[in-house]
Amino acid sequence: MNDLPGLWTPWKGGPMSGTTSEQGAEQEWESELIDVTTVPLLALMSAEETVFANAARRLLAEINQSETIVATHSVTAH
Amino acid sequence: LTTAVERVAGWRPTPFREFVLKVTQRCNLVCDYCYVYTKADQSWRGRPPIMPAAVVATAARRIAEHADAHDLAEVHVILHGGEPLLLGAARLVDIAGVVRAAVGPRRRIRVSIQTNGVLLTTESLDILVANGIGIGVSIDGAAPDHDRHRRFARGRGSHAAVARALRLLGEPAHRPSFNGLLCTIDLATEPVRCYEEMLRHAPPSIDFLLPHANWADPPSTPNDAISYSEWLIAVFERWYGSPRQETRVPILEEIIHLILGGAGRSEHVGLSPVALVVIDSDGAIEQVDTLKSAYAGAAGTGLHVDTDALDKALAHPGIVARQVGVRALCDTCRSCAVHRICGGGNYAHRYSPGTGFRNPSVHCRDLFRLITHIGRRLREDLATLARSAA
Repeated sequence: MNDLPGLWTPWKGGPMSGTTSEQGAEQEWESELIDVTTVPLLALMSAEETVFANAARRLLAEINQSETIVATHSVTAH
Repeated sequence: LTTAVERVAGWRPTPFREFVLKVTQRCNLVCDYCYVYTKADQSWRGRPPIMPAAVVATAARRIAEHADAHDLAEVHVILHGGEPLLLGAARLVDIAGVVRAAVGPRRRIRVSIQTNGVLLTTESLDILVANGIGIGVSIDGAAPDHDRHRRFARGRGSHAAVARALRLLGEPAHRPSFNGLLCTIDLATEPVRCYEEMLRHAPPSIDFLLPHANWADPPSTPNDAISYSEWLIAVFERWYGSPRQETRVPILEEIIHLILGGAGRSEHVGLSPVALVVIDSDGAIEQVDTLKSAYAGAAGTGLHVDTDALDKALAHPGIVARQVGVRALCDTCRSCAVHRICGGGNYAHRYSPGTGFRNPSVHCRDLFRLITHIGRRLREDLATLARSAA
């Protein structure tokens, strides 16, 4: 599998290893995973109808949902 | 990766909720990137051009049987092709009626079509809307960009016909059936112009597809073009930065939702179980049709609605692999910091001859860059909110 031509392996360097800034982004990502429990979600919803506020609403709705969430077909617009 | 092994580990299959019926094998366009006609699998040539009534009836019975066996509250049926409107709106309504009658009134059933839009008329829209059939339309931005790929057999572009159809679909009488637009990314297309052009049709959603490719058939990446991640990041910044959300962009919304810790609803990204099955025009029970881009027969299960319940497909290794989440990912993916968000990407894009589908996506590099970019933007906004709430 690691012999795949052109495989980019940013997490450990590889045949198409990213630039220095990309590798830096990876380190930052590992050390700063988002923990939304540290953020008052209701505060997000006080915003207008932005993408960000709507994302928070969806997250809150999902927390209150018991149904199994499944993935749907990629070529079908919903 | 067998069903037996997964059951030992405590895993149970997720019932199918989405049923894709290949009601026709033909299309009135010859799009140059189509995964049905231009990729590895050419099985459409040997299947009935139109799904026979007997297959429709048996497929409907199998869907009802599956819904009953798992007591599903809702099922979603997608009438797909080829181009489904080649059958005419009245026949599509007939097919929907057969499925609805079989499933019965106790369960909610959503029916939709995915069309190139060319054959949508006021009359066909009236029929589809009156019968509660949702409509998704494929369009690739402005006319010069769209017409590079989505053409009639004689070479003429189809944008003018699709734009006319979208004007009709956007009328108040038809808008309740407007599900959204679907765009396949072309690096030669300017991304923000593409997004804004499609926004003119006021769609409820605009989804963007990475072109189907794999390690044996890699995506086209001209030297002078931007990357797929740069393309999607440009759209993300335009969409996310709007003072008011203008439309939904599922691929980007899913990534945001996954980064925030939610569960994904798209097979593009994330690790949620994929709960869809395809019934082809000859009654064959198949995996997702986009696998046809990998190799001939890739979507097959060896099952048929005449002889097999859909439950049997739940035990097929290819279906199982898409329902077991992180356990189906290769070691390289598992060691990546963003694998729970990326989910390995679209399954079809992981294929490599010899190693099958246990590989990173051929779009790995672009998915990683896109996800980390969106993650940075979210962290900045969350930090701002946390400071203001403190």
